[in-house]
Amino acid sequence: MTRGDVQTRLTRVFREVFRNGDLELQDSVTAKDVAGWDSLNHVKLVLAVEAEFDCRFTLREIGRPQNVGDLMDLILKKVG
Amino acid sequence: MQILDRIEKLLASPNLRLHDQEGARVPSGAFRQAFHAVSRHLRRHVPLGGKVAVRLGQDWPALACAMACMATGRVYLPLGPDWPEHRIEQIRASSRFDLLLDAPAWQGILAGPSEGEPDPAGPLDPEATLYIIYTSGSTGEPKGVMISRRSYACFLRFLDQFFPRVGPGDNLLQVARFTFDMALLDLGLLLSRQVGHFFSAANGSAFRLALEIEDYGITWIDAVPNQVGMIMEDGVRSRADLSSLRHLVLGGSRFPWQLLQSLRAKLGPGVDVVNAYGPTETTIYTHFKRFTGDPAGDAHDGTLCAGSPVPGVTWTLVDPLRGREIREPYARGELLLGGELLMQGYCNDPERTARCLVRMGGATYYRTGDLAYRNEAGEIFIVGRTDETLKRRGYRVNLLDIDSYIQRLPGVQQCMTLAYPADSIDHYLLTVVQPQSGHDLDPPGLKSQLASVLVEYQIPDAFAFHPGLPLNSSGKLSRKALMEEFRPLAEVAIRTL
Repeated sequence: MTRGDVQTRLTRVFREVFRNGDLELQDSVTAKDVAGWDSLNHVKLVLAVEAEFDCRFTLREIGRPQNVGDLMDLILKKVG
Repeated sequence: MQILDRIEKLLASPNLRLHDQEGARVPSGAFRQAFHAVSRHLRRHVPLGGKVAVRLGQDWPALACAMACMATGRVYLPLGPDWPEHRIEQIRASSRFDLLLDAPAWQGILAGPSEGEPDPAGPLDPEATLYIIYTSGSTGEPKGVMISRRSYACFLRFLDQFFPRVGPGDNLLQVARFTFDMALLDLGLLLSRQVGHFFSAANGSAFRLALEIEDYGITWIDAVPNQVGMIMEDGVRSRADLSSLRHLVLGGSRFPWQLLQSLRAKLGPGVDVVNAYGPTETTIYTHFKRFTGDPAGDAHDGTLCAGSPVPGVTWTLVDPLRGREIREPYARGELLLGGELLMQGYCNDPERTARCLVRMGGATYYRTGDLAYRNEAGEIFIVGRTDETLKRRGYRVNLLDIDSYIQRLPGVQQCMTLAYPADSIDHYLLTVVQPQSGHDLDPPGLKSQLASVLVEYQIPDAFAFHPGLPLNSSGKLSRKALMEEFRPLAEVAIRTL
């Protein structure tokens, strides 16, 4: 799986969770940049990402990412 | 014990255990050195009783500066490093603070030559102001709540009594920002019980918060209920080892009955769970309730008990329409708070101070705006609000305050912000805007403009546009009519939060 593949699928997940069909992801995007990215939606997002990529993150893995780029790196490491 | 004595005792103690925002131990010697450097700087450059604005991040330097202010008799005034400059200027104008301690100032104090021993400080007046916390105002201007040394010392004595099992072996995780008076409970635990202190860098991530509890072996957390509630979500709880937790103090917003059940089920009976209630205007918290697991004692009619007052706190309930005191159990009224923890007033704002304080029976009380009732034992239960101020993500927001900013945006004819209860965020905010003729407005544009003047938790969740806002019989905008008209839209949005 390429980083581009991850970005495409992750974008779809973000658009569903945050109900924003126009949402575009860049590596630098953080919770502050996305309307509605609060604590509850953060949990929903992680569960949705796990479902999309058929993986499960440990607490240590998912507690570290600071932005979307870090999350993509984590996904690639997990399933790449 | 006086505040200065507690600070000196802590600094001299082998129990001094502080950590930076990455969780690394701060050498005690380095902390003491920094504390003394800041103290000397304050004594030399700020008059006794002068105000010191501390605008530093969530890290140990802010703690050193707060303690230096308290130890030297300067007034501690925390500012958010991420606050818009507009808000900072309002507070500068309102408080007329004498010195700003920001990152460059901090670096300058540490890097500069030693300023030598200043003149000895005079005695510290217990009636002097210890700290000022700025909260949301109703006219678009933040208001500075002034708390005396005497009030905070009284609060610390209560912590000594109420948490005797908390001590140097405990690890506290500070979740609250320094600008939230809940952070002064954390500092209070440090001064009262000499706990180990850690900073949370979770920034809203329940996973990160759970990881910090696990990694740092956290035994004590005080936070708003929603933050702890998120850790209890199965998606988080199932991955986390929270076995170190021993003490949870939840306050700052409504503590739902369901959350207490979840905590009992998922953390077990060995965790001390406490509900804390109180406005900023009465020194952090005035009432505490330690839950015993007895449903009859812990709650009434689905509302968790907010507990008994801190010794020295006086309180009463007043019928908001007739002004008479309510003494009978279970009768609702507005909660008034007075006594030892009552604020000195709002900084440089005697008119606003006079509006919110009331004299009854020879004593002065603060009008909380909270609707409450008592039980036969004199414990209180909070059931709602009497005005437009409410909680959002644990912070207090005022709808009129928000409206005053939106009203000033180009293209806005008039507006009204509506609040609908939403468990996960306290309240969902929807602002209905009547655009000026010929103006096209869009929600992202409005939010972007508000981001430069409002703090994040004050910005509405959504905007709706209305050609002509309804009026009531007095000719004023009808909140009631708008609430009903937009309720279906809000309910759909809340369900998908």
